[in-house]
Amino acid sequence: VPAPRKTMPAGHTGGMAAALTPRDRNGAGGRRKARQSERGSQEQLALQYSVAGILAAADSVTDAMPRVLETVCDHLDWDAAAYWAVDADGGILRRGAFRQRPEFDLDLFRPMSREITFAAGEGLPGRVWATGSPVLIRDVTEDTNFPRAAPAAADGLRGAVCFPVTTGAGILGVIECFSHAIGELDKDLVRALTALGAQIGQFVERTRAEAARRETEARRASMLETALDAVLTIDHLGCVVEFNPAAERTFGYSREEALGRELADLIIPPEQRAQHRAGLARYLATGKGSLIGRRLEMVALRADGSTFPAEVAITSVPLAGPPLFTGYIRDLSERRRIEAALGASEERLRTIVAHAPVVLFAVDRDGIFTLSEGAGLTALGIRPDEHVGQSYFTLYGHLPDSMAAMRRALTGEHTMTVDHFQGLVFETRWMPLPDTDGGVKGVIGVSTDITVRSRIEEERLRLEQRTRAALDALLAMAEVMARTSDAGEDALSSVRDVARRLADLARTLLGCRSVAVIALADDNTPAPLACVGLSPDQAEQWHKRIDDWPRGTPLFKALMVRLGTGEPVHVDTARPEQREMANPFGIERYLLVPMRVGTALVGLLSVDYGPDDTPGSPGDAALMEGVAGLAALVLERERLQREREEARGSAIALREANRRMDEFLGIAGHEMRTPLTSIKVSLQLAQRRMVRLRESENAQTGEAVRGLIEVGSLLDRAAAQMRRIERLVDDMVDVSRIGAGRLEIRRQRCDLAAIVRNSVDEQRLSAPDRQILLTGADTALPVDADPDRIAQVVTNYLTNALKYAYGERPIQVGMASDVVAARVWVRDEGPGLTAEEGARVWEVFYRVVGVEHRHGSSVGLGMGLHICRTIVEQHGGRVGVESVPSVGATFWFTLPLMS
Amino acid sequence: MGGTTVLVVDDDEAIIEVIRAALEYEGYGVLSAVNGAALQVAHDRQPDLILLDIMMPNMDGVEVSRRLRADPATASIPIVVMSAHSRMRAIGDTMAADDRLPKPFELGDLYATVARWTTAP
Repeated sequence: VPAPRKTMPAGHTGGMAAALTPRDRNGAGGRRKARQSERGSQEQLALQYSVAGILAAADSVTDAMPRVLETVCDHLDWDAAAYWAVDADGGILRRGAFRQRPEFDLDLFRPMSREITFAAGEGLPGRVWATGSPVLIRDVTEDTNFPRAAPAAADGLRGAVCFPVTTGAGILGVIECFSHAIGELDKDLVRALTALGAQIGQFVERTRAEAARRETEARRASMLETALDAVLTIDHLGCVVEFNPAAERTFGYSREEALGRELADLIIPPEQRAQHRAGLARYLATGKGSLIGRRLEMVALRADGSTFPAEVAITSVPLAGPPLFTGYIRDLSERRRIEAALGASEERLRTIVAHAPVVLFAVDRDGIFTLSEGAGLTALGIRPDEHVGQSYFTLYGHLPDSMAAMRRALTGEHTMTVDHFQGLVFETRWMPLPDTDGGVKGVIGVSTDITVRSRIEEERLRLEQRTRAALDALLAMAEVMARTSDAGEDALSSVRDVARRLADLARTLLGCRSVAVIALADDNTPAPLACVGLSPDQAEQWHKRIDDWPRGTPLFKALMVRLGTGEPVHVDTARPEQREMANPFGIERYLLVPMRVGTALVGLLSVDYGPDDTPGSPGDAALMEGVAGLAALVLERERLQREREEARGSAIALREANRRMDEFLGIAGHEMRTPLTSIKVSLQLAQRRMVRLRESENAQTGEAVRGLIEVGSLLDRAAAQMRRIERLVDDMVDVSRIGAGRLEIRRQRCDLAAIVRNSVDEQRLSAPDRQILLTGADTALPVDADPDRIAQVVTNYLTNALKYAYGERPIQVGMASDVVAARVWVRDEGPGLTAEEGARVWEVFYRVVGVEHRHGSSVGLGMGLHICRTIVEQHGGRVGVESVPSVGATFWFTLPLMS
Repeated sequence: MGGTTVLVVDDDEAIIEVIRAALEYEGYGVLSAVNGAALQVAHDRQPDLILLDIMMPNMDGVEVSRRLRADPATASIPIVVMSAHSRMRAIGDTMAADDRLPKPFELGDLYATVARWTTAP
């Protein structure tokens, strides 16, 4: 053990030793005891005051403790003191404040004490903490439970005392004091220290409570500030002393406005103020209030005069003196609104359930009804909740699907069933009701009356089948159409066959008993085509009946008019006005559906639905019209087909006839030519000889000359007619060649003007008494053409003009050209042609009706202009005629010019 | 019968007769033949001119004219082909002939054509 480095100054030690018990090392215990007892109680009292003063001035134990320790050392004559606080978390004592007299050095002991902690029972502080009683040690260097003995010895410390700082709740800490003198046991001291510990403990407790109070106060204030509920406090006079922000928001008053005002005036509707004041007065008088501590609802008033439902809880604040009351007020408007809304929707739901065509039911896990609701029950004659308490399995055991579904639902499965029940169809959804353990506590079911829906579904299925049938029928009709295009069938039997198939299809499609198809001619004369669904006997009668139909009657005519508009007509032969429609085969009622193509009535579909059934649905009507329309189309197609066949036949026949005609013309022409040549040459020879005879001297008698002249004129006339026959024969041969496509054109470069001039000259020669005016033929117009053929055209135009022109009116011939074509025209002043005639004169064998030619005796065979057109068109030119009837006609043609 | 002689070859008797009448009226000597017989007549009689119709049965004018030309005795006798217009155009170009007389012809044409190839009778 090292020696103390410093020693106490003698003077000081002496003074202190006289004053302080622990430093009385001289063993003068009796004397000191008496003195101590006397002085001690004074010192202890002084200490208590002193400590009380310190504590009163301090805010906390931490603040107060250093000065408490100083005071303890001063008053009780100790050299050092330390405070050990219980560290509740660690279960140990930690050193807090430490004080020592300034004249001592505790260089080893003080740092040591700062670093050490004590568990309960350990060392001096631990012993005091563990026992709760003060402990006095004479000499710490000799103590067995003093871990700090070495530094204490080094610093010269000997005596020690330690006492707890206690509160009602336990030990807060311990205070230990040390002296360089040996410690002596002193009961008074122990008592005083115990009292001191309690005093300090009380202080600690008070400061803690104070802190807690302050914290609570702060928390309360903040709660009031942030509370969603309006919080207001009134005093016993009913005046507002507290008014939080929520109250400001709720009532529309600021805190400043509200404070001091009577609550009743502020937020209680006028009619309830008297009651409020009376209640307050009664509470103040009796201490009993029906409102205190309860949650109640009342109507509250806002600054703007509006009121709202409020939930109010009132507490009285337990204070000495006049009571305060705090009210917590919540605006219920929103909740009320939601509740109202919820109520309304609940009500609505209930209404819906009650009126919907559904049955809502619930059963428990044993299948006992707990609920049975909904308008769907009405249809079943069941009162709401009539089933409640009864077993589902008993009541509905006869519905196997539902039974199965119920059982499955009770095992937790969602299912759906459709049941037929009392003539209705119900679709039911089954939902298990889960209990909290994951089991099933029952089943909820909703049954919907889907009778109508299922009928619609059936109808839809029926329509679907029909549509399919209709498609089949359409295919069949297409097949009918395709088949009827086969040529070579007997026309009428083919139509009848088609009609029979149509009737059959219609019958299938419409699902009726019998169907008949009647064709109508343009004058509505009915013709039986086909019937199906009748017995052979009936069919025979039907055919006869249709043939004998009384079609002159007003009824029949009216019927046709209606059918002609496309409207089906119901015939009921039982009705007097339709009796004449009665038939011998027993069909009383039937429907006549018009078969129309466009607006033309081409036939009738007679539909017999049987005695019981009547066609009613719009679908039927539409279907029927569709069938009739199709039937009409098929028939019409058949008719067109027939006509086309006929037309094709006649076209072929015509072509053949034309071919034969052309052939005939060719043969005839050639056959006539040789004898014509012979006759012509003979005639010409006769003429020549006649001329010679007249000129000979042998025939100079007047009578002979006259005779010869007469013969000569006869020969001339014969020759003229001969030329016409010759021209006709030429035309016949040309037409024949045109028909055979063998009209020969031998083109060469030639002058169109010259051709025209020559032709005009020729005609002038042959008709010297007629005037033919030619203009524009002075300029050569080179063309690549067959001059003979072009001349033939010009001559034809000229001879026609001469033939048709009025009286002695001149014929005008003109020519013109532009850069690409030359145009030649021949104009006459004659009866002219209508536009239609003008278009048709170019056709072969076309002859204008009613036109009287003026000269000659023939109107021709209608070949000339046809040949002209063919010739010109084969030259790449065009022909035409412009005419004003009764004024004249201008025939023209064009030819391309040679470049 | 001296003077100018014309051989008319045609299968149509009426034509032969009318030509004969016309030519004899003007003083020509007229011979006539049908088909191939014309070759022998021409060879034997040496006409001044042959009027040959090309549309004959058995042997047509084309063949007749070829043979006439092939026979030195007749090769130099002028031949006038008689035929319809179209036929004349189609065939006339290809056959050995000196002139054409399209049918139907005018009396004047006949005289003019014959006069062209013979000295006047």
